[in-house]
Amino acid sequence: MGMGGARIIDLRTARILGLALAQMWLAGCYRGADDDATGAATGADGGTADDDAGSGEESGDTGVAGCEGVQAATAPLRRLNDRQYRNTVVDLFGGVVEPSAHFPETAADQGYTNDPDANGVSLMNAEEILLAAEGAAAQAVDRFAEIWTCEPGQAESDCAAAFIADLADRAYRRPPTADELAALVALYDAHRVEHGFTDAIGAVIVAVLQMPQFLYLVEEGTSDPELPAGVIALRDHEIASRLSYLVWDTMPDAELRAAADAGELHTAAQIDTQVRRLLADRERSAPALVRFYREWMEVRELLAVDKDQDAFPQFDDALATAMDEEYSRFVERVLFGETPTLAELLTSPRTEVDATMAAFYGVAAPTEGWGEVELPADRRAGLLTRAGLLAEHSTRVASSATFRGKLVRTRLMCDPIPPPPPGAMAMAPEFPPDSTARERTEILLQEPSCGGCHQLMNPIGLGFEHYDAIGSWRDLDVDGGPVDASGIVNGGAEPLTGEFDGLVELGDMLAGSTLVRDCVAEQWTRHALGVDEAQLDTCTVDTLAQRFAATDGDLLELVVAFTTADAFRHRRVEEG
Amino acid sequence: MARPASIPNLRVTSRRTFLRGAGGIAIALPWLESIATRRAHAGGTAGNAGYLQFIHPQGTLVDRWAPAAGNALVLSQMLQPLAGLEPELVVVSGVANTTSGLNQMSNGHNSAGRTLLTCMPFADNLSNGALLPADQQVDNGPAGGPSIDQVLADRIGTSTPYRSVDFGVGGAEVGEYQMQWAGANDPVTLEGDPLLAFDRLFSDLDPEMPTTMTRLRAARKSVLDTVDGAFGQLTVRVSAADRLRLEAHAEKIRELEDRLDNLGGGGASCGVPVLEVPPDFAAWDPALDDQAAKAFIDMMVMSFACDLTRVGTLQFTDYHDPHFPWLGLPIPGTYDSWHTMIHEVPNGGDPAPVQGAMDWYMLQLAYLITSLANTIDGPDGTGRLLDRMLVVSLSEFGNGGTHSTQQLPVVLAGQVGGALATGRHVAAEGATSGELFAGILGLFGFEDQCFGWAEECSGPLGL
Repeated sequence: MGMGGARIIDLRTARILGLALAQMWLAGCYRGADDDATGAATGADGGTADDDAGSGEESGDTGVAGCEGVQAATAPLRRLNDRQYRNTVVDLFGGVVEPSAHFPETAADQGYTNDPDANGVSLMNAEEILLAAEGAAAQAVDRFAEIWTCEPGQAESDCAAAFIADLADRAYRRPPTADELAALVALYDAHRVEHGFTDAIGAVIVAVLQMPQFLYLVEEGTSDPELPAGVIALRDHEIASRLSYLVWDTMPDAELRAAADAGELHTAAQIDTQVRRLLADRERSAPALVRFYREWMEVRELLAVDKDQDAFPQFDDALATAMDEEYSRFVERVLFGETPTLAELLTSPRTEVDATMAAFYGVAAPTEGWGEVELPADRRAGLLTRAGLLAEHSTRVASSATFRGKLVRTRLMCDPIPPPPPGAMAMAPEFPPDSTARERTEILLQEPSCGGCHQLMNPIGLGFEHYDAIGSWRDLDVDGGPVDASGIVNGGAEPLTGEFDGLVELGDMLAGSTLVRDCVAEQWTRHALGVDEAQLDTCTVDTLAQRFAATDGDLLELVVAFTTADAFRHRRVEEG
Repeated sequence: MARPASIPNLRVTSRRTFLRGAGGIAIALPWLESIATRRAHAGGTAGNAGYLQFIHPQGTLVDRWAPAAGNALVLSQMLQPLAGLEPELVVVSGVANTTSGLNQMSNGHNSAGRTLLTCMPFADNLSNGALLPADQQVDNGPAGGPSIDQVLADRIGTSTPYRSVDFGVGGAEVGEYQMQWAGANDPVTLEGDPLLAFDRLFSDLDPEMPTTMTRLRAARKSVLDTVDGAFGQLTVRVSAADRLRLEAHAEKIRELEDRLDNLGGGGASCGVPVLEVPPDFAAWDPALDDQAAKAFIDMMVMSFACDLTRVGTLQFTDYHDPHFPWLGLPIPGTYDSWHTMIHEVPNGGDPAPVQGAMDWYMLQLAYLITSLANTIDGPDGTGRLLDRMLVVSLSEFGNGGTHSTQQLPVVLAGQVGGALATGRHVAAEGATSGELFAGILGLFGFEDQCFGWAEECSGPLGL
C-alpha cells in the first residue's frame, strides 16, 4: 500500500472488460437505462468534402451521404438569455441605460444557456421582465436628451413618431409593420395627454422591452415551394439576428442591419463576409465565443467556500476568480492567436497569467496585469489542464475521477452517460477514509450496478490524478505515495482508445481524434441552436463536422462553416 | 450558488430612508394615510385566511423528531427550538409521501422534491393519467400536476396583487428541487435575492420611490395591454411549436394585467419592512444565508400583513452543500458535502452537527411563527396575523440519510381563522401527503376528498 503501481484489475483484463462493457452500454450501462443515445457523430471521417467552404454554394449539396438537397435544422424558438438581454439593452440605448438587475437570470445548470428550457417565463419572470423594462425606461426618460434629439422646429408628435419608429426598428431587429407602429403610437398618445412627452415615451419603452419581437429570436421565415415540406428559409433580418447573437451575444450593429435591410444577407457568400467581420471584432466576439467554451466544459466561477478551507487554505475568493479568468483568457488566446485550432486548444502550454496565477502555476509573474507565458509543457498543456476546469470537476476535498472522466466522455466524446440507477446514493459503496481516487474507482468498478457506467468514466478520470481538488499539480497522492496517472479509455476509437499516462498524453490523443473533432461540431451546434441531443439534425452536425475536419479543426472556421451552411439559413418547422 | 457575472447594481434608494430608533433599532415607517386610502380593500383582511409553506431540505433525525403518543403536544428533541410556541402548533406525525416511489427511476432527490407538494408522478411517467411501467419511465422531469400552494392560490388568491410570494433562502436555483408548479410543466420560480424581492414587493408602497418610476408604474395596465396585443398578433404567424411557447408567456402577461386592479389591503401592521441587510448585500454568498433568511421572513410576514398575497412559500434551496458558517459547526467537516454528511448518519456518522443545522431551520420557523403572532391584524387592530394563517413546515424526507419519504416532519401553526384547533399532536400513521393536503384544503373551507394521485387516497386527513 502506498505504491501507486498495483492495480486490482490488470490492464489487459480491464481493456477487454472495458470493450465488453462498452458494448453493454449500447443497451444501457445497467439494466433499465434508456437507450437514448442519438446524435453522437461517430465514425465521420473527415474525408473529402465536395463543397468548398465559404464559396457561396447555394445548391445545398453537402457531400455527406444521405444529406442531399437543402439542409435545414430544427431550432426551437429562443428567448434572449440574461447576458444577451443585458448587452442588448446597453446597445439599444447607446450605453446610456444600465440594464436592470431584475431581469430573470438564466438557469445555468440546465445545459447550454441558449436552450429555451433554461429561459422559460414563469409568472414571476414575467413580472421581473416588466420591472426590468421599467428600470430601463426610467433611466431613458431621465436621460432622454442623451438618447434622442428632436429636429429643430419639429412638432412634438412627429418627434415622438420618429423616435418610436427608430426604437421599434432597432429593438425588433427589422422594420416594424404598420400595425406594430400603430400600437406603440396609440400607447404614446394615450399617455401624452395625462403625463407629458417623456413619460409617454417612457411607457412606449416599457412596452417595447417586453415585446415578443424583442425578447425572442422570432423566425417566421418564408416558405418556398421549391423547399422540402416543413422547411422555411430565414429572412435576411432573421439571419442577422442569428449571426449577431451567436458571435456577439447582442443585437445586430448598423452594418449588419444595413446588409439585411438591403436584402444582402442570405447567401453563403454574403454571410461569410459578415461573420468574418463579426469574428474579427475581438472585443465583442471573444466574450460570446468564450461563453461556449465555458458552458461546453461546464466551468463556472467558484467561491472560496466551495473548497475545504482546512485542506486548501490558499483557495480564497481571489484565487477562485483568478483561475476562472485564466480559463477564459486561455481560450481567448487560442481563438485569436496564430493557431486557432482544436489541437492547439487541447495541447497548448501557453496561456495568460496574472501574479496570482503565475504563483499558482509556478512561473514568473508578469510585470503588471495579465501577460502571456509558456507553462511547463509536461504539466500544463491544453484546456483540460486549466486550474479552473480541474477545480470545478472535483469535490470539496478531493480530485474526482468520476467528474473528470464524465466530462471527457460526455463533452469530448459525445457519449451520453445515463443517470445513476435509482437509489444510487443510498446504495453507494463505502469508501475508506483518505482513500485515493484510484482506490475508490476500483471499489466502484467492482459493484455490479455501478461498474458498467463508471467503467466508461473513471479510468479516464484517473489520468487527471496529478491535479488535486483545486487544480494544483501534485507528485504525491493523498496516501503519500507517488501519483499514478495512468488511465484507460474504454471503447472509443484510435487514437483515443486504450491506455495513456497523464493529461499531456490524453490531450494528444484527444487532439488527434476524429471522434472528438466531430463531437465539438455537435456541441457547438447544440449551443448555437439551443437544442438538446434529441433535437439535433444528424445532417446538420455531419456537414459541419466534415467542414471542420477539412479546415483541420480551425475553431473560427467552425463558426464560419456553421453560419454559411444551409442549415443556418433554413429552419425545420412543424407542419400546421 | 455561483457568483453572478457583473450583475449591475440595483437602483434602489428607498431603503436608505428608513427611520432608525435610538441604538439602531429599526422601526417600520408608519402607514401613510394617502396610501391607505388608495389601497383600501373592502372588508379589510379579517377572516381572510392565508397559507404559508416553510420547506427545509434533507428531512430530520426521525428518531429524535417522533412525538410521544397521544394528543397532548410535548415537543420532541428536534422541535425544542419551538419551545414556548406549543399553543400555536399542531404536530402531525406519520405522514408519508407515497407518490415519490411511483417515479421508479429517480435518484431519490428529484422525485422526493417534485412530488412533495404536487403528490403526482412526473408528467413523463404518466400516459392518459395512468402510470407507465418502470422500463418506460424517466428519471427526472416536470411534475405531473400543480402544487398545493398554487391550487390554493387559484382558489383563495385571486384578489391580491400577488398570486403567491415565493422566496428561496440560498438563491433561486433549485435544480432538481423544483417543488412548486403552477401546472404540469409550469414551474414557479423563486426570488433568491432579498434586495430584488424588496424592490419588487414593497418599493411602490414607499413614498420615497423616485417619481419617474412611480409615473411609469401607473402606466402598467395600458403597457401590458399593448404587449398582450403584440403576442396575440405574433402567435398566429409562427409555427405550432413556437406558438406554444409564446402563448405560455402571454398567459403570464395577462395574469399580471389581471392583478393590477388588486391593490391589497392596508392592514394595521402594513408598512414598508425594514431590511437589515446592506444595500450591497451579496445574495449569492452562501455565508450570508442567515441574514437572507431573516430578511425573507420579515418580508414574508409583511407581505401577508399588507395582504399582498394569501399564499407564500419559503424554501431553503441549498440542499446539497450549505455550510451554516454562522453556527460554528464542523459542517461539512471531513465530508465532501452536507449531502454526504446526511447520508452518513445512518452509517454511524455523528448526528450532532446535523442536528445543529436542523435546529437552525427550526429556529427560523420559530421566528416566523413568533413574528406572525406579534403582527397586529384585523379591522379593529386587535387580532394577530397568525390567527388567520396556516403555516405548514415540511421537508421532502423523513430520514434524509436513507431518502425515506415516510415519517415526514410536519408541523402546522396558526388557527386558519378558527378552523384549526392548535396546541396538540395528531398521530396520522398511514396517512399520505395527498390526504394531508386534502385535509388542509378542508381547513380553508374546500371539500376535496383527495389531492393529487387519487389511487393512494382514502379521504382527507382530519385536522
